[in-house]
Amino acid sequence: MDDLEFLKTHAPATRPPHDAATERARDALLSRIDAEQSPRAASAPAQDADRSATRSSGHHVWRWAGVAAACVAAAAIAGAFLIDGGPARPDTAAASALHQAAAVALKQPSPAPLASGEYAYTKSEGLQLTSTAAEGQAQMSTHTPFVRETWMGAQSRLRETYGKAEFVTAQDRANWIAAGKPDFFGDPGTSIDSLGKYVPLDLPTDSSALFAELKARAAGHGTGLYNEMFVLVGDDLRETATSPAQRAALYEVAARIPGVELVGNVSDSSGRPGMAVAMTDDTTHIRQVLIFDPNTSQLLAEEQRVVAGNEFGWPSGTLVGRQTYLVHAVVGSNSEVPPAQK
Amino acid sequence: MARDEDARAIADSLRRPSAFEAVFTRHFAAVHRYAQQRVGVDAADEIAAETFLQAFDHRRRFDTTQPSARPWLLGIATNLMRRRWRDEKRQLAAYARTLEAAVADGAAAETAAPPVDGVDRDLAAALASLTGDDRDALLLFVWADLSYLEIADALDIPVGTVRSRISRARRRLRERLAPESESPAPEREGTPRTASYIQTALAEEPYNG
Repeated sequence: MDDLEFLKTHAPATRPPHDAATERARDALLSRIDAEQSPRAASAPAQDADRSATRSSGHHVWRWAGVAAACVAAAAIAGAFLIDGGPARPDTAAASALHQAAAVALKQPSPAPLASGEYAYTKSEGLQLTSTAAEGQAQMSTHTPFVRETWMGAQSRLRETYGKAEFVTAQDRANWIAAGKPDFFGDPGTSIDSLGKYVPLDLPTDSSALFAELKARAAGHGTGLYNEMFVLVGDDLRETATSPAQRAALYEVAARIPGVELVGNVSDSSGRPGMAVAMTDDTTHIRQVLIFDPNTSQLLAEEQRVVAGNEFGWPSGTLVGRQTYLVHAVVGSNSEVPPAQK
Repeated sequence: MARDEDARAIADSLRRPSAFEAVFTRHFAAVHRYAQQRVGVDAADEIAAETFLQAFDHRRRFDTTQPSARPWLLGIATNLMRRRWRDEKRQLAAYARTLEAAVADGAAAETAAPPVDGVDRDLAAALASLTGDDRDALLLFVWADLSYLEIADALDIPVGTVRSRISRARRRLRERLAPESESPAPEREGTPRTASYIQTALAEEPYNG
Protein backbone atom coordinates (compact mmCIF):
# COMPACT_ATOMS: atom_id res chain seq x y z
CA MET A 1 0.00 0.00 0.00
CA ASP A 2 1.64 3.26 -1.02
CA ASP A 3 1.33 6.46 0.96
CA LEU A 4 -1.48 7.93 -1.11
CA GLU A 5 -3.56 4.79 -0.93
CA PHE A 6 -2.87 4.67 2.78
CA LEU A 7 -4.11 8.23 3.20
CA LYS A 8 -7.22 7.53 1.18
CA THR A 9 -8.16 4.42 3.12
CA HIS A 10 -7.42 6.08 6.44
CA ALA A 11 -9.40 9.25 5.84
CA PRO A 12 -11.18 10.52 8.95
CA ALA A 13 -14.66 9.12 9.36
CA THR A 14 -17.42 11.56 8.49
CA ARG A 15 -21.15 11.67 8.74
CA PRO A 16 -23.67 13.55 6.62
CA PRO A 17 -24.40 17.08 7.85
CA HIS A 18 -27.33 17.30 10.23
CA ASP A 19 -30.53 18.45 8.58
CA ALA A 20 -30.62 21.42 10.94
CA ALA A 21 -27.13 22.51 9.88
CA THR A 22 -28.02 22.11 6.23
CA GLU A 23 -31.19 24.14 6.63
CA ARG A 24 -29.38 26.87 8.57
CA ALA A 25 -26.83 27.12 5.79
CA ARG A 26 -29.54 27.11 3.13
CA ASP A 27 -31.51 29.79 4.97
CA ALA A 28 -28.40 31.95 5.24
CA LEU A 29 -27.84 31.59 1.51
CA LEU A 30 -31.46 32.31 0.66
CA SER A 31 -31.33 35.44 2.81
CA ARG A 32 -28.28 36.57 0.89
CA ILE A 33 -30.06 35.78 -2.37
CA ASP A 34 -33.13 37.71 -1.28
CA ALA A 35 -30.98 40.68 -0.36
CA GLU A 36 -29.39 40.70 -3.80
CA GLN A 37 -32.72 40.43 -5.54
CA SER A 38 -33.37 43.95 -4.47
CA PRO A 39 -33.42 46.20 -7.52
CA ARG A 40 -30.41 48.22 -6.39
CA ALA A 41 -28.29 45.11 -6.53
CA ALA A 42 -30.11 43.58 -9.45
CA SER A 43 -29.22 46.43 -11.71
CA ALA A 44 -25.59 45.47 -11.30
CA PRO A 45 -25.15 42.11 -13.09
CA ALA A 46 -24.24 43.52 -16.46
CA GLN A 47 -21.84 46.02 -14.97
CA ASP A 48 -20.23 43.40 -12.78
CA ALA A 49 -20.02 40.98 -15.65
CA ASP A 50 -18.20 43.66 -17.56
CA ARG A 51 -15.67 44.05 -14.78
CA SER A 52 -15.15 40.37 -14.24
CA ALA A 53 -14.72 38.77 -17.60
CA THR A 54 -14.29 35.04 -17.28
CA ARG A 55 -10.70 34.10 -16.79
CA SER A 56 -10.34 31.71 -19.66
CA SER A 57 -11.99 33.45 -22.52
CA GLY A 58 -11.69 37.14 -21.84
CA HIS A 59 -15.22 37.98 -22.80
CA HIS A 60 -18.31 38.78 -20.88
CA VAL A 61 -21.82 37.54 -21.21
CA TRP A 62 -25.03 38.62 -19.67
CA ARG A 63 -28.24 36.80 -20.10
CA TRP A 64 -31.82 37.57 -19.31
CA ALA A 65 -34.70 35.17 -19.11
CA GLY A 66 -38.39 35.43 -18.60
CA VAL A 67 -38.52 34.62 -14.94
CA ALA A 68 -35.21 36.23 -14.21
CA ALA A 69 -36.03 39.49 -15.77
CA ALA A 70 -39.04 39.69 -13.52
CA CYS A 71 -36.63 39.82 -10.63
CA VAL A 72 -34.44 42.32 -12.37
CA ALA A 73 -37.27 44.51 -13.51
CA ALA A 74 -37.78 46.12 -10.18
CA ALA A 75 -36.66 49.65 -9.72
CA ALA A 76 -38.00 53.08 -9.25
CA ILE A 77 -40.60 54.05 -11.74
CA ALA A 78 -41.44 56.64 -9.20
CA GLY A 79 -39.31 58.46 -6.75
CA ALA A 80 -39.70 58.75 -3.03
CA PHE A 81 -42.71 60.99 -3.48
CA LEU A 82 -44.65 57.97 -4.64
CA ILE A 83 -43.62 55.91 -1.68
CA ASP A 84 -44.78 58.76 0.48
CA GLY A 85 -48.18 58.72 -1.13
CA GLY A 86 -47.50 61.41 -3.70
CA PRO A 87 -49.53 62.32 -6.72
CA ALA A 88 -49.30 59.14 -8.80
CA ARG A 89 -52.35 56.90 -8.69
CA PRO A 90 -53.11 53.47 -10.13
CA ASP A 91 -54.24 53.55 -13.72
CA THR A 92 -58.02 53.41 -13.66
CA ALA A 93 -58.37 51.14 -16.67
CA ALA A 94 -55.74 48.75 -15.33
CA ALA A 95 -57.38 48.73 -11.92
CA SER A 96 -60.73 47.94 -13.47
CA ALA A 97 -59.32 44.98 -15.43
CA LEU A 98 -57.53 43.70 -12.34
CA HIS A 99 -60.64 44.02 -10.17
CA GLN A 100 -62.43 41.96 -12.80
CA ALA A 101 -59.67 39.33 -12.75
CA ALA A 102 -59.99 39.15 -8.98
CA ALA A 103 -63.74 38.64 -9.25
CA VAL A 104 -63.23 35.85 -11.77
CA ALA A 105 -60.63 34.22 -9.54
CA LEU A 106 -63.04 34.05 -6.63
CA LYS A 107 -65.48 32.09 -8.76
CA GLN A 108 -62.95 29.38 -9.57
CA PRO A 109 -63.07 26.04 -7.74
CA SER A 110 -60.39 25.43 -5.16
CA PRO A 111 -58.00 22.70 -6.25
CA ALA A 112 -57.66 19.70 -3.94
CA PRO A 113 -54.48 19.74 -1.84
CA LEU A 114 -51.69 17.59 -3.19
CA ALA A 115 -51.86 14.05 -1.83
CA SER A 116 -48.73 12.33 -0.60
CA GLY A 117 -46.47 11.63 -3.54
CA GLU A 118 -48.29 13.98 -5.88
CA TYR A 119 -46.69 16.91 -7.66
CA ALA A 120 -47.99 20.07 -9.28
CA TYR A 121 -46.58 19.99 -12.80
CA THR A 122 -46.15 23.15 -14.87
CA LYS A 123 -44.78 23.37 -18.37
CA SER A 124 -43.83 26.61 -20.00
CA GLU A 125 -41.93 27.70 -23.05
CA GLY A 126 -40.11 30.90 -23.65
CA LEU A 127 -37.29 32.86 -25.11
CA GLN A 128 -34.37 34.55 -23.43
CA LEU A 129 -32.04 37.22 -24.67
CA THR A 130 -28.31 36.76 -24.40
CA SER A 131 -25.92 39.59 -25.15
CA THR A 132 -22.21 39.12 -25.45
CA ALA A 133 -19.32 41.36 -26.25
CA ALA A 134 -15.74 40.32 -26.82
CA GLU A 135 -13.13 42.70 -25.50
CA GLY A 136 -13.03 45.70 -27.81
CA GLN A 137 -15.73 44.29 -30.07
CA ALA A 138 -19.31 45.30 -30.75
CA GLN A 139 -22.10 43.63 -28.82
CA MET A 140 -24.00 40.72 -30.31
CA SER A 141 -27.33 39.39 -29.08
CA THR A 142 -29.22 36.17 -29.52
CA HIS A 143 -32.56 34.76 -28.53
CA THR A 144 -32.49 31.26 -27.10
CA PRO A 145 -35.71 29.25 -26.88
CA PHE A 146 -36.33 27.08 -23.86
CA VAL A 147 -38.88 24.72 -22.42
CA ARG A 148 -39.21 24.69 -18.66
CA GLU A 149 -40.96 22.03 -16.60
CA THR A 150 -41.39 22.08 -12.84
CA TRP A 151 -42.67 19.42 -10.48
CA MET A 152 -43.54 21.04 -7.14
CA GLY A 153 -44.01 18.75 -4.15
CA ALA A 154 -41.97 16.90 -1.56
CA GLN A 155 -38.92 16.64 -3.80
CA SER A 156 -39.46 19.38 -6.32
CA ARG A 157 -37.66 19.21 -9.58
CA LEU A 158 -36.88 21.46 -12.53
CA ARG A 159 -36.03 20.45 -16.08
CA GLU A 160 -35.02 23.06 -18.63
CA THR A 161 -34.27 22.35 -22.26
CA TYR A 162 -32.52 25.03 -24.25
CA GLY A 163 -32.68 25.20 -28.02
CA LYS A 164 -30.47 26.74 -30.64
CA ALA A 165 -29.73 30.43 -30.25
CA GLU A 166 -30.65 32.77 -33.10
CA PHE A 167 -29.22 36.23 -33.70
CA VAL A 168 -31.70 38.95 -32.89
CA THR A 169 -30.76 41.12 -35.87
CA ALA A 170 -28.60 40.88 -38.95
CA GLN A 171 -26.29 43.39 -37.32
CA ASP A 172 -25.76 41.04 -34.38
CA ARG A 173 -24.71 38.34 -36.82
CA ALA A 174 -22.40 40.76 -38.61
CA ASN A 175 -20.82 41.72 -35.29
CA TRP A 176 -20.29 38.06 -34.48
CA ILE A 177 -18.56 37.47 -37.81
CA ALA A 178 -16.40 40.55 -37.31
CA ALA A 179 -15.39 39.20 -33.87
CA GLY A 180 -14.14 35.97 -35.46
CA LYS A 181 -17.24 33.85 -34.85
CA PRO A 182 -16.53 33.14 -31.19
CA ASP A 183 -18.32 30.23 -29.57
CA PHE A 184 -20.13 32.31 -26.98
CA PHE A 185 -23.63 31.02 -26.96
CA GLY A 186 -23.55 27.47 -25.69
CA ASP A 187 -25.05 24.33 -27.11
CA PRO A 188 -28.63 23.18 -26.95
CA GLY A 189 -29.17 20.84 -24.04
CA THR A 190 -31.18 19.88 -21.02
CA SER A 191 -30.46 20.55 -17.37
CA ILE A 192 -32.18 19.07 -14.36
CA ASP A 193 -32.13 20.60 -10.91
CA SER A 194 -33.51 19.62 -7.56
CA LEU A 195 -35.63 22.36 -6.02
CA GLY A 196 -36.17 20.85 -2.58
CA LYS A 197 -39.47 20.64 -0.80
CA TYR A 198 -42.19 22.94 -2.06
CA VAL A 199 -43.90 24.90 0.68
CA PRO A 200 -47.26 26.36 -0.41
CA LEU A 201 -47.44 30.12 -0.24
CA ASP A 202 -48.82 31.43 3.01
CA LEU A 203 -50.52 34.52 1.65
CA PRO A 204 -53.41 36.36 3.28
CA THR A 205 -56.57 36.36 1.23
CA ASP A 206 -57.57 39.79 2.49
CA SER A 207 -56.26 42.21 -0.13
CA SER A 208 -55.45 44.96 2.37
CA ALA A 209 -53.48 42.55 4.52
CA LEU A 210 -51.73 41.21 1.43
CA PHE A 211 -50.95 44.72 0.22
CA ALA A 212 -49.37 45.48 3.58
CA GLU A 213 -47.43 42.23 3.51
CA LEU A 214 -46.08 42.73 0.00
CA LYS A 215 -45.24 46.34 0.81
CA ALA A 216 -43.28 45.17 3.83
CA ARG A 217 -41.48 42.53 1.76
CA ALA A 218 -40.68 45.07 -0.92
CA ALA A 219 -39.57 47.83 1.42
CA GLY A 220 -35.86 48.39 1.39
CA HIS A 221 -35.42 46.28 -1.68
CA GLY A 222 -34.46 48.07 -4.80
CA THR A 223 -35.00 51.54 -5.97
CA GLY A 224 -38.74 51.47 -6.31
CA LEU A 225 -41.22 50.14 -3.82
CA TYR A 226 -44.06 49.76 -6.29
CA ASN A 227 -42.04 48.13 -9.00
CA GLU A 228 -40.83 45.65 -6.44
CA MET A 229 -44.39 44.99 -5.34
CA PHE A 230 -45.41 44.33 -8.95
CA VAL A 231 -42.54 41.88 -9.23
CA LEU A 232 -43.69 40.14 -6.06
CA VAL A 233 -47.20 39.82 -7.47
CA GLY A 234 -45.73 38.14 -10.55
CA ASP A 235 -43.54 35.90 -8.41
CA ASP A 236 -46.54 34.73 -6.42
CA LEU A 237 -48.63 34.02 -9.50
CA ARG A 238 -46.13 31.99 -11.48
CA GLU A 239 -45.51 28.30 -10.90
CA THR A 240 -47.23 28.41 -7.55
CA ALA A 241 -50.30 26.72 -6.16
CA THR A 242 -52.16 29.85 -5.15
CA SER A 243 -55.75 29.33 -4.14
CA PRO A 244 -58.43 31.27 -6.02
CA ALA A 245 -58.83 33.56 -3.00
CA GLN A 246 -55.10 34.24 -2.84
CA ARG A 247 -55.01 34.89 -6.57
CA ALA A 248 -57.91 37.30 -6.22
CA ALA A 249 -56.06 39.15 -3.47
CA LEU A 250 -52.94 39.36 -5.64
CA TYR A 251 -54.91 40.96 -8.46
CA GLU A 252 -56.50 43.38 -6.02
CA VAL A 253 -53.06 44.35 -4.79
CA ALA A 254 -51.88 44.89 -8.38
CA ALA A 255 -54.90 47.12 -8.93
CA ARG A 256 -53.65 49.41 -6.18
CA ILE A 257 -50.05 49.69 -7.34
CA PRO A 258 -49.27 53.09 -8.87
CA GLY A 259 -47.62 52.78 -12.26
CA VAL A 260 -49.42 49.63 -13.39
CA GLU A 261 -51.02 50.31 -16.74
CA LEU A 262 -53.49 48.46 -18.91
CA VAL A 263 -52.14 47.01 -22.14
CA GLY A 264 -55.48 45.50 -23.09
CA ASN A 265 -56.50 42.43 -25.04
CA VAL A 266 -53.55 40.50 -26.43
CA SER A 267 -52.66 36.97 -27.52
CA ASP A 268 -49.87 35.06 -25.89
CA SER A 269 -47.19 33.27 -27.90
CA SER A 270 -49.38 30.17 -28.18
CA GLY A 271 -52.27 32.22 -29.55
CA ARG A 272 -54.46 32.22 -26.46
CA PRO A 273 -56.36 35.44 -25.84
CA GLY A 274 -55.55 37.26 -22.64
CA MET A 275 -55.68 40.53 -20.80
CA ALA A 276 -52.37 42.28 -20.21
CA VAL A 277 -51.14 44.77 -17.65
CA ALA A 278 -47.65 46.20 -17.48
CA MET A 279 -45.22 48.25 -15.48
CA THR A 280 -42.09 49.97 -16.75
CA ASP A 281 -38.92 50.10 -14.76
CA ASP A 282 -37.35 53.50 -15.24
CA THR A 283 -33.96 52.31 -14.04
CA THR A 284 -33.45 49.27 -16.25
CA HIS A 285 -35.80 50.61 -18.93
CA ILE A 286 -37.54 47.29 -19.15
CA ARG A 287 -41.27 46.92 -19.36
CA GLN A 288 -42.72 43.89 -17.59
CA VAL A 289 -46.02 42.57 -18.95
CA LEU A 290 -48.29 40.05 -17.24
CA ILE A 291 -50.94 38.35 -19.33
CA PHE A 292 -53.78 36.57 -17.60
CA ASP A 293 -56.78 34.62 -18.76
CA PRO A 294 -59.87 36.80 -18.25
CA ASN A 295 -62.02 33.68 -17.98
CA THR A 296 -60.03 31.84 -15.32
CA SER A 297 -57.67 34.50 -13.90
CA GLN A 298 -54.70 32.14 -14.39
CA LEU A 299 -51.41 33.69 -15.43
CA LEU A 300 -50.98 32.79 -19.09
CA ALA A 301 -47.70 34.44 -19.91
CA GLU A 302 -45.29 37.23 -19.15
CA GLU A 303 -42.75 39.09 -21.17
CA GLN A 304 -40.16 41.80 -20.82
CA ARG A 305 -39.18 44.28 -23.49
CA VAL A 306 -36.75 47.14 -23.34
CA VAL A 307 -37.87 50.68 -23.80
CA ALA A 308 -35.80 53.58 -25.08
CA GLY A 309 -32.83 54.64 -23.02
CA ASN A 310 -31.67 51.27 -21.78
CA GLU A 311 -28.00 51.12 -20.91
CA PHE A 312 -27.37 48.04 -23.04
CA GLY A 313 -28.04 49.77 -26.30
CA TRP A 314 -30.79 47.43 -27.32
CA PRO A 315 -33.33 48.91 -29.74
CA SER A 316 -36.58 49.89 -28.07
CA GLY A 317 -38.99 46.97 -28.22
CA THR A 318 -36.32 44.28 -28.13
CA LEU A 319 -37.70 41.21 -26.44
CA VAL A 320 -35.64 40.54 -23.32
CA GLY A 321 -37.56 37.46 -22.33
CA ARG A 322 -40.90 35.82 -22.40
CA GLN A 323 -42.44 32.79 -20.77
CA THR A 324 -45.76 31.21 -21.64
CA TYR A 325 -47.37 28.80 -19.19
CA LEU A 326 -48.84 26.00 -21.22
CA VAL A 327 -49.73 23.13 -18.91
CA HIS A 328 -50.76 22.82 -15.28
CA ALA A 329 -51.50 19.32 -13.97
CA VAL A 330 -51.22 17.12 -10.91
CA VAL A 331 -49.02 14.07 -11.50
CA GLY A 332 -47.98 11.09 -9.43
CA SER A 333 -44.23 11.60 -9.28
CA ASN A 334 -41.55 14.21 -9.85
CA SER A 335 -40.70 12.74 -13.23
CA GLU A 336 -44.16 12.00 -14.59
CA VAL A 337 -45.35 14.05 -17.53
CA PRO A 338 -49.09 14.39 -18.22
CA PRO A 339 -50.04 12.04 -21.06
CA ALA A 340 -50.74 14.75 -23.59
CA GLN A 341 -47.24 16.15 -23.07
CA LYS A 342 -45.23 13.01 -23.77
CA MET B 1 -25.56 15.63 -13.61
CA ALA B 2 -25.26 17.29 -16.98
CA ARG B 3 -21.73 18.44 -17.63
CA ASP B 4 -22.43 22.14 -17.50
CA GLU B 5 -25.26 22.29 -14.96
CA ASP B 6 -23.17 24.24 -12.48
CA ALA B 7 -22.00 26.70 -15.10
CA ARG B 8 -25.53 27.19 -16.32
CA ALA B 9 -26.91 27.65 -12.81
CA ILE B 10 -24.21 30.14 -11.91
CA ALA B 11 -24.63 32.03 -15.17
CA ASP B 12 -28.39 32.07 -14.61
CA SER B 13 -27.90 33.30 -11.06
CA LEU B 14 -26.38 36.52 -12.39
CA ARG B 15 -29.81 37.55 -13.53
CA ARG B 16 -31.88 35.24 -11.34
CA PRO B 17 -30.01 34.91 -8.04
CA SER B 18 -32.25 32.12 -6.78
CA ALA B 19 -30.77 29.82 -9.44
CA PHE B 20 -27.71 29.58 -7.22
CA GLU B 21 -29.59 27.42 -4.75
CA ALA B 22 -29.17 24.49 -7.13
CA VAL B 23 -25.41 24.73 -6.63
CA PHE B 24 -25.96 24.54 -2.87
CA THR B 25 -28.23 21.52 -3.25
CA ARG B 26 -25.70 19.69 -5.40
CA HIS B 27 -22.53 20.37 -3.44
CA PHE B 28 -23.26 21.24 0.18
CA ALA B 29 -22.76 17.69 1.43
CA ALA B 30 -19.45 17.30 -0.41
CA VAL B 31 -18.09 20.60 0.89
CA HIS B 32 -19.26 19.73 4.40
CA ARG B 33 -17.65 16.29 4.21
CA TYR B 34 -14.29 17.70 3.21
CA ALA B 35 -14.45 20.44 5.84
CA GLN B 36 -15.41 17.84 8.40
CA GLN B 37 -12.33 15.80 7.57
CA ARG B 38 -10.16 18.86 7.95
CA VAL B 39 -11.60 20.78 10.90
CA GLY B 40 -14.23 18.59 12.55
CA VAL B 41 -17.96 18.54 12.33
CA ASP B 42 -18.76 21.67 14.35
CA ALA B 43 -16.43 23.92 12.42
CA ALA B 44 -17.52 22.20 9.21
CA ASP B 45 -21.07 23.47 9.72
CA GLU B 46 -19.74 27.03 9.73
CA ILE B 47 -17.18 26.53 6.99
CA ALA B 48 -19.62 24.89 4.60
CA ALA B 49 -22.27 27.55 5.19
CA GLU B 50 -19.78 30.39 4.74
CA THR B 51 -18.37 28.73 1.62
CA PHE B 52 -21.69 29.07 -0.17
CA LEU B 53 -22.19 32.66 0.96
CA GLN B 54 -18.78 33.60 -0.39
CA ALA B 55 -19.36 31.58 -3.54
CA PHE B 56 -22.62 33.41 -4.13
CA ASP B 57 -21.04 36.80 -3.49
CA HIS B 58 -18.17 36.04 -5.86
CA ARG B 59 -19.97 33.87 -8.40
CA ARG B 60 -18.98 36.15 -11.24
CA ARG B 61 -15.46 34.89 -10.75
CA PHE B 62 -16.46 31.32 -11.47
CA ASP B 63 -14.90 30.05 -14.67
CA THR B 64 -17.93 28.85 -16.57
CA THR B 65 -15.78 26.64 -18.77
CA GLN B 66 -15.30 24.37 -15.77
CA PRO B 67 -17.60 21.34 -15.84
CA SER B 68 -18.23 21.35 -12.09
CA ALA B 69 -18.25 23.96 -9.34
CA ARG B 70 -16.97 21.47 -6.77
CA PRO B 71 -13.26 22.30 -7.13
CA TRP B 72 -14.05 26.01 -6.95
CA LEU B 73 -16.17 25.51 -3.84
CA LEU B 74 -13.56 23.33 -2.19
CA GLY B 75 -10.99 26.02 -2.95
CA ILE B 76 -13.14 28.59 -1.16
CA ALA B 77 -13.59 26.20 1.76
CA THR B 78 -9.84 25.61 1.85
CA ASN B 79 -9.19 29.34 2.06
CA LEU B 80 -11.71 29.64 4.87
CA MET B 81 -10.12 26.77 6.75
CA ARG B 82 -6.77 28.51 6.68
CA ARG B 83 -8.23 30.83 9.28
CA ARG B 84 -9.17 27.83 11.39
CA TRP B 85 -5.79 26.33 12.10
CA ARG B 86 -6.70 25.81 15.76
CA ASP B 87 -9.69 23.72 14.69
CA GLU B 88 -7.58 21.77 12.26
CA LYS B 89 -4.98 21.05 14.92
CA ARG B 90 -7.74 19.89 17.23
CA GLN B 91 -9.16 17.69 14.50
CA LEU B 92 -5.76 16.22 13.71
CA ALA B 93 -5.26 15.47 17.39
CA ALA B 94 -8.65 13.81 17.53
CA TYR B 95 -7.79 11.92 14.38
CA ALA B 96 -4.58 10.79 15.99
CA ARG B 97 -6.44 9.59 19.06
CA THR B 98 -8.84 7.66 16.85
CA LEU B 99 -5.94 5.96 15.18
CA GLU B 100 -4.30 5.28 18.54
CA ALA B 101 -7.51 3.68 19.74
CA ALA B 102 -7.72 1.66 16.58
CA VAL B 103 -4.22 0.35 17.17
CA ALA B 104 -4.96 -0.37 20.79
CA ASP B 105 -8.16 -2.21 19.96
CA GLY B 106 -6.68 -3.95 16.99
CA ALA B 107 -9.70 -2.90 15.01
CA ALA B 108 -10.50 -0.33 12.40
CA ALA B 109 -12.60 1.76 14.78
CA GLU B 110 -14.01 4.66 12.76
CA THR B 111 -11.47 4.59 9.99
CA ALA B 112 -12.29 3.14 6.64
CA ALA B 113 -9.48 0.58 6.71
CA PRO B 114 -7.66 -1.54 9.28
CA PRO B 115 -4.83 0.26 11.03
CA VAL B 116 -1.25 -0.55 10.27
CA ASP B 117 0.54 -0.82 13.56
CA GLY B 118 3.34 1.68 14.00
CA VAL B 119 2.44 3.67 10.92
CA ASP B 120 -1.11 4.97 11.11
CA ARG B 121 -0.83 6.33 14.65
CA ASP B 122 1.70 8.84 13.40
CA LEU B 123 -0.16 9.67 10.26
CA ALA B 124 -1.95 12.60 11.81
CA ALA B 125 1.28 13.98 13.18
CA ALA B 126 2.93 13.58 9.82
CA LEU B 127 0.10 15.46 8.17
CA ALA B 128 0.31 18.17 10.76
CA SER B 129 4.01 18.54 10.09
CA LEU B 130 3.39 19.58 6.50
CA THR B 131 3.15 23.20 5.54
CA GLY B 132 -0.42 24.35 5.11
CA ASP B 133 0.00 24.82 1.38
CA ASP B 134 1.40 21.33 0.91
CA ARG B 135 -1.27 19.79 3.11
CA ASP B 136 -4.04 21.60 1.19
CA ALA B 137 -2.83 20.23 -2.12
CA LEU B 138 -2.30 16.71 -0.79
CA LEU B 139 -5.65 16.43 1.00
CA LEU B 140 -7.62 17.89 -1.88
CA PHE B 141 -6.04 15.09 -3.91
CA VAL B 142 -6.54 12.16 -1.54
CA TRP B 143 -9.59 13.10 0.51
CA ALA B 144 -11.55 15.33 -1.89
CA ASP B 145 -10.59 13.26 -4.95
CA LEU B 146 -9.72 16.27 -7.06
CA SER B 147 -7.38 15.90 -10.02
CA TYR B 148 -4.21 17.96 -10.30
CA LEU B 149 -5.96 20.25 -12.75
CA GLU B 150 -8.93 20.68 -10.43
CA ILE B 151 -6.65 21.44 -7.50
CA ALA B 152 -4.89 24.04 -9.62
CA ASP B 153 -8.27 25.59 -10.32
CA ALA B 154 -9.39 25.33 -6.69
CA LEU B 155 -6.27 26.94 -5.27
CA ASP B 156 -5.69 29.23 -8.26
CA ILE B 157 -2.13 28.04 -8.73
CA PRO B 158 -0.33 26.52 -11.73
CA VAL B 159 -0.69 22.79 -12.14
CA GLY B 160 3.07 22.43 -11.92
CA THR B 161 2.93 23.95 -8.45
CA VAL B 162 0.27 21.41 -7.49
CA ARG B 163 2.52 18.63 -8.66
CA SER B 164 5.51 19.93 -6.72
CA ARG B 165 3.48 20.54 -3.56
CA ILE B 166 2.03 17.05 -3.57
CA SER B 167 5.42 15.56 -4.36
CA ARG B 168 7.00 17.49 -1.50
CA ALA B 169 4.20 16.50 0.86
CA ARG B 170 4.54 12.83 -0.02
CA ARG B 171 8.27 12.95 0.48
CA ARG B 172 7.84 14.53 3.92
CA LEU B 173 5.17 12.02 4.85
CA ARG B 174 7.41 9.13 3.92
CA GLU B 175 10.26 10.65 5.90
CA ARG B 176 8.04 11.05 8.94
CA LEU B 177 6.39 7.70 8.72
CA ALA B 178 9.29 5.46 7.74
CA PRO B 179 11.21 5.59 11.05
CA GLU B 180 8.02 4.89 13.01
CA SER B 181 7.13 1.95 10.87
CA GLU B 182 10.40 0.40 11.90
CA SER B 183 9.93 1.16 15.59
CA PRO B 184 8.79 -1.42 18.14
CA ALA B 185 5.33 -1.65 19.66
CA PRO B 186 3.36 1.59 20.00
CA GLU B 187 3.05 3.36 23.30
CA ARG B 188 -0.13 2.34 25.08
CA GLU B 189 -0.07 4.44 28.21
CA GLY B 190 -0.10 8.10 29.07
CA THR B 191 -0.67 10.86 26.57
CA PRO B 192 -0.56 9.44 23.07
CA ARG B 193 2.69 10.50 21.56
CA THR B 194 1.03 11.46 18.33
CA ALA B 195 -1.37 13.89 19.90
CA SER B 196 1.29 15.50 22.07
CA TYR B 197 3.55 15.78 19.08
CA ILE B 198 0.95 17.81 17.28
CA GLN B 199 0.45 20.09 20.23
CA THR B 200 4.11 20.81 20.77
CA ALA B 201 5.53 20.77 17.29
CA LEU B 202 2.94 22.81 15.46
CA ALA B 203 2.10 25.81 17.49
CA GLU B 204 2.67 28.22 14.65
CA GLU B 205 0.42 29.02 11.72
CA PRO B 206 1.92 26.92 8.94
CA TYR B 207 0.50 28.57 5.85
CA ASN B 208 2.60 30.59 3.54
CA GLY B 209 0.96 33.88 2.95
